[in-house]
Amino acid sequence: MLTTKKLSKASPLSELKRSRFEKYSVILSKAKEVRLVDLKSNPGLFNPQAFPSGRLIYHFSDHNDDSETLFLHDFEPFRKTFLVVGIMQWTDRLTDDKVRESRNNLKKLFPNVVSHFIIAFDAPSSATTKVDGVHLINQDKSNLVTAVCEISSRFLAEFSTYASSYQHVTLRSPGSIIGSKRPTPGLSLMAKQRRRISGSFDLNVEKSKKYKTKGRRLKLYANFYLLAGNLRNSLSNFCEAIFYLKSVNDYLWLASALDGLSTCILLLARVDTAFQLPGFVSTLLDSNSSNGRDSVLMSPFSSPASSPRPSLQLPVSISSSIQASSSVQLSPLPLSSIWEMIHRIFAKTFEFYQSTFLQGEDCVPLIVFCECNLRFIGLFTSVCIERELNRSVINHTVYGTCLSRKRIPEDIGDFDHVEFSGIFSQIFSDRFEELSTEQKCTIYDFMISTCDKLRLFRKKSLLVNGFIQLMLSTGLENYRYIYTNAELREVLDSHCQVYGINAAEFPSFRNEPNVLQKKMLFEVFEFCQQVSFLEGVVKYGSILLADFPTLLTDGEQQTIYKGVREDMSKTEAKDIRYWDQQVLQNIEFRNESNDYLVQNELSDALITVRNPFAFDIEISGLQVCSADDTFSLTTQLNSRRQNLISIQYNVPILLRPRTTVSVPIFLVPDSSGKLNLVGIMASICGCDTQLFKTMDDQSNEDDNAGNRMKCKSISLKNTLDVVKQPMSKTRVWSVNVIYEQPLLKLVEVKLSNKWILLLEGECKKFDITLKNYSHVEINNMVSTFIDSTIEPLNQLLTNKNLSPNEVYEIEYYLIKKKPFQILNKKEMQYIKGNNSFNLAMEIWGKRGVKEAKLILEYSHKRKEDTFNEYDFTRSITIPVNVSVYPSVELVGCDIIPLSSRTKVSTNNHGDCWTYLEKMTSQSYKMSDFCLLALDFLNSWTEEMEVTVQCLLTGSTNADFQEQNGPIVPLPEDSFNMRLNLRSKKSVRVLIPIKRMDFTEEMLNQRIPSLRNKQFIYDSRTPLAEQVFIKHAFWYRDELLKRIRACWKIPDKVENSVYAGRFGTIDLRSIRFSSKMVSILEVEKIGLNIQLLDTQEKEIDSDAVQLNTFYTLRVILKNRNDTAVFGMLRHLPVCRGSGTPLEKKVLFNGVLQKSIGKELKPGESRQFDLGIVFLEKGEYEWGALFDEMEKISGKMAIKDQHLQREQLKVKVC
Amino acid sequence: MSYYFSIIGNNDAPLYELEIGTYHQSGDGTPHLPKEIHQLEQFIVNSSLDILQDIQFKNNAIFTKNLDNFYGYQIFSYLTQGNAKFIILTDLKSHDESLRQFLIEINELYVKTLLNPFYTVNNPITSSGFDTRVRLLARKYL
Repeated sequence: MLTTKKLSKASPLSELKRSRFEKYSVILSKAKEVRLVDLKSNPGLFNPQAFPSGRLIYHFSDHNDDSETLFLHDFEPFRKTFLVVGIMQWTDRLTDDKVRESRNNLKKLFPNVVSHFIIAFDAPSSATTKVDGVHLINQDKSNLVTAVCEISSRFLAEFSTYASSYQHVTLRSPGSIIGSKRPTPGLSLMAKQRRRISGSFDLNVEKSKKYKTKGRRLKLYANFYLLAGNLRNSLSNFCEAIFYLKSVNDYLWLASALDGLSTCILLLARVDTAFQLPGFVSTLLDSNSSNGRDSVLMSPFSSPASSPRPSLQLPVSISSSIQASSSVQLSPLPLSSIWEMIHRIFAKTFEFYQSTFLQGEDCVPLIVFCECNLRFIGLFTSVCIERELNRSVINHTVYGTCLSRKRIPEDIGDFDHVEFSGIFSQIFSDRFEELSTEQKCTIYDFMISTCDKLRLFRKKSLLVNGFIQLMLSTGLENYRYIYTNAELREVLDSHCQVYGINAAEFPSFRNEPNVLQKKMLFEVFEFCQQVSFLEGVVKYGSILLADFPTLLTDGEQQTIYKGVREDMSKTEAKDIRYWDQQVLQNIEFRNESNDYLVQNELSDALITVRNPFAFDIEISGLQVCSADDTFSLTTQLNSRRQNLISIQYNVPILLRPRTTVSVPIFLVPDSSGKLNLVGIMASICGCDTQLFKTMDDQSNEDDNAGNRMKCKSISLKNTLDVVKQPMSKTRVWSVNVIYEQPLLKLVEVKLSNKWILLLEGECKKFDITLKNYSHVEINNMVSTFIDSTIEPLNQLLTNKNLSPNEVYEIEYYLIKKKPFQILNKKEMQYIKGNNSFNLAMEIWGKRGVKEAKLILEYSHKRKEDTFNEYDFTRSITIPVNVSVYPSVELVGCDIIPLSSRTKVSTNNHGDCWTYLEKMTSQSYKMSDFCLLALDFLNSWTEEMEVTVQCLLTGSTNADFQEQNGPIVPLPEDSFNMRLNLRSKKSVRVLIPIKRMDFTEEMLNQRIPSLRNKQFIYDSRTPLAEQVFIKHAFWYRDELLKRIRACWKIPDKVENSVYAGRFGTIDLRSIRFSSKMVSILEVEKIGLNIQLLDTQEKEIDSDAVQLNTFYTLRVILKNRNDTAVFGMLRHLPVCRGSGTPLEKKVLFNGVLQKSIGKELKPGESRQFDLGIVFLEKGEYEWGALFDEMEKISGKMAIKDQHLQREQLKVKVC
Repeated sequence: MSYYFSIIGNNDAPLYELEIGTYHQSGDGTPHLPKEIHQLEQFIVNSSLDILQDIQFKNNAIFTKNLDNFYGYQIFSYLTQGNAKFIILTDLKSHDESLRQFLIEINELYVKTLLNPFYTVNNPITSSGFDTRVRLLARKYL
């Protein structure tokens, strides 16, 4: 309560530092209350002994605003500064002269102030001064209270002198001093009022003037007494003033007197002093406002009717009543009655003040009216908080001590809203604009805290908003220094909270932002900028950018961004979050068809980020984050210039306004296992580095449905509750990381000119040097060879009409006959880290090869690994440049039979005949062999030496066909020949082949598939052809197991760089016809015819005699696995004449007959037929065996076996 | 005389706003709100909810006149069944009945808007048809 305080001012002297001045001010303010009983008496008006229980209460201030309120000093003297205390620090150099000079300066500086004193702090106890009005305070401050008492005593004496100067002054209303701005009501209204006054109570003008003057003076003195602590005199003066002022309807001063009376009553209650108001005051207060003016005019008088001239008796009655009340021993009123009384007094005060609004000069100054309202509302609020007027309310009002609680209890918010609203509207009326900015600020300040105490948060926010508007419109930045950052933060945060924005937490809110919130935040942001509350600029700007991008215009966004960026670096605020939490849109791996990464290796990824704002954003320190902290991950930017890999570190990514950009990066996982990526860490636009996640699209809808606001929810509390709910699920990118893998590089291919020239069939060895550049060993390596023939061959294989033997042939070339061979295959299975390795290679000159590649697929595999479900391999391709030239080619083949009668001519001296002679000289017959005729063509430019070797039986070596070079060692019974073949010449080579005797079972085996393809039953090819194909295949297979041909460029060839080179001739182009097969095979049923004489001696068939008895013996041999049964038929043919055979040959028996018992496997049987030739000529005697089922009566022929060599007989 | 009319959702968010002047007394419907009121009108309306939320549980009236007062501007309110609020801020005195009629008819429009399957409660009302009808009603009553 301002009126209770003795306004005093503390000023620094002698260049005292600000901090020290503030320290002394605090010390001094502790002694702000002085009891009058402690003061020295003085003979003046304000003798403290007159009311010993009174107190002087100082209101220390370090600034002087007297000039602003000068016109109010007569009306409300408590606004004046009465006392100035100069504060200085004691030093040894401080002499009396200096102190005196300081005091004089103080007087010059504040000439209108009643008393001037100097207090020197930190003086030693021995220090003294003789200068009047100077007090020395010891370092222990023990004499501070004494000094203040002395000052107070002295002040009261001087104040008495000051007050006495008002004895004869005519007091004027403030409006008449400054000139009223309010419209003066018309004369008619004034006259009406006068008329009404005069109608009720007749006072002549002179008396009225006298009463008015007296009343005003009494009111002024009452204020003086109040200031001097003499409450009793103050009360009586106020009451007396009320009487006089009421009687002349001087409403302005009357209201002021009532205002002062309320203060006086409160202070009396504080000092527990009993009092009694005169009857007319009570009557005045009791009168209701509707007929107030008329009734209160009479109310001071107990009975107007009983006293026709009561006015003459008034002073006596008032004085006596007050005197009586003071002399009679009364008990103090209960506080509840005091509050009721004060309440009524204020109601009257406002009523009277309002009635002055149209009274021109006597109109109440707006600041007076507002402050009166503020005083009441302050007390009203305190009473509402405490639920009653009690000691703590009084102490809070007088001393500013704390109440038992900060705000009105939430459950008891039922104070009189209407009354508050009425006072509120009185303060913030349409005249509010007339107040000065400082006054407005003070009112805003007070009302904001009041609304906060009363939990009228929206109202408070309205005032905060008005205050912000005021600050923005007037540029009153200095006002900001009254508040600390923490206070500003609290006020603004609670301001935001009223509008559903939880500024202190993140996220601030989740509901749809609305224009009101945006407008409010934008104003708060601008306010923070204006008052340089940097933390606020960043905070509220961030909320705007984060939650209101759709409501902000581009210009606003850019303004806010600029402001936030500028202040971000200046403020110490931490945890500045970037405004778009959905900046990360996607993480995409760019592995080609692989869904895993490799430990410690770069893998390509794309991060899609967006910029929804109207300004550029920069992303720096981009790091991809895994869910597991132990799974560390390195992120590097890929600048991708012209498709070159280029790694960049710490280069910010710039995103243009409203764009979505895919940023190429490299990820390097530092360990292996399951990697779960949850988002990216980045610092965007200078904000703190934070983790950005992406919402999982699928889970969003459910959450939204749950969070939808219900109609019945009526408060913003629900909005804030929603904010506290956890966010919906975030997306996780899972990828497997396999453990570290080796890296192999090609060091060198050891070839001259890096090119190989090969003749067809030639083999060459060379080395390839590789190095494992990683520290991880290679323990798994697979080699693949690719040459230019593979593709056409594969193409051929797709033809489904190929016969199985052709398929086998292609497969053979693809799988068995590879162009490369690694000679040290076992060694290459294990290559240690950082080691070099030599690969010994052999390359074979395959026809048609133009280019060849060696592909090595390698990896590191762990035995204990259960995770590696991905068969990771890395491959290295080693190209080998090859040219293959044709050498000796096989251009044709045939098989020529040999019969048992074949004779080697003396002209035939070839190796073949020599070999045959050699073999027939052993136990072999000529008919056991046949001749394989191979036509070789030398396609090379130089003479070639061709060697052909043939084993007697097929080699048991499985790799025989794949091997190159001559057969080593060559068995004794093998055929071997050599010949020279000139360039571009062909030659036919005859090779004796022992005929092959295979069982049906073996010949009917399926043709194998080297690719392990499933057997498909062939229904299109005729069965007989299928049988032939199989037979031909197995015979050819056997043949290729026996025979091998090689070429060599003889050393003797002059001037040849190729001399000495050798190779193998590819014989796989041999194909069998059915005739060739039949020549090659040994018949299953052997039919041999012999012509015997009567002594059973075989005779020469060229010298058979006429009319001589011979025996024709057929020897039947069963070479099958099963017993056979059938008919033997003789087929005699006579060449030449047309005479029937019956007339040329006589035979004893039948030409066709059953063989009788079945012929068991391996068994031979003879069938003799006696014959006589009757005519000369040449005969051919053949035999046929019809194989039949051994079922009686069934004559179906199962198979026919023809005799291979017919008996040729020449009868002479 | 000028009016500021606002529909406040049950989450205190403004759903619709209109600043309009009177059509009576030779007015042409142009609002003449002072600058400070224009700046603060949304906040004044919002602050009146403190009192409205207190008194709405104390009496049955859905129309409240002189709910609050700020800078000499009166506030009138109308509560809907869904707890949305229609608030009028005006410098007009003693024109209660026509304001009440205006707000009753606005309520009908608002209910029709709620019936729109494409409108969700508490979303801003952006329909130009709604705006036109409100202006017509303002012309009739204000």
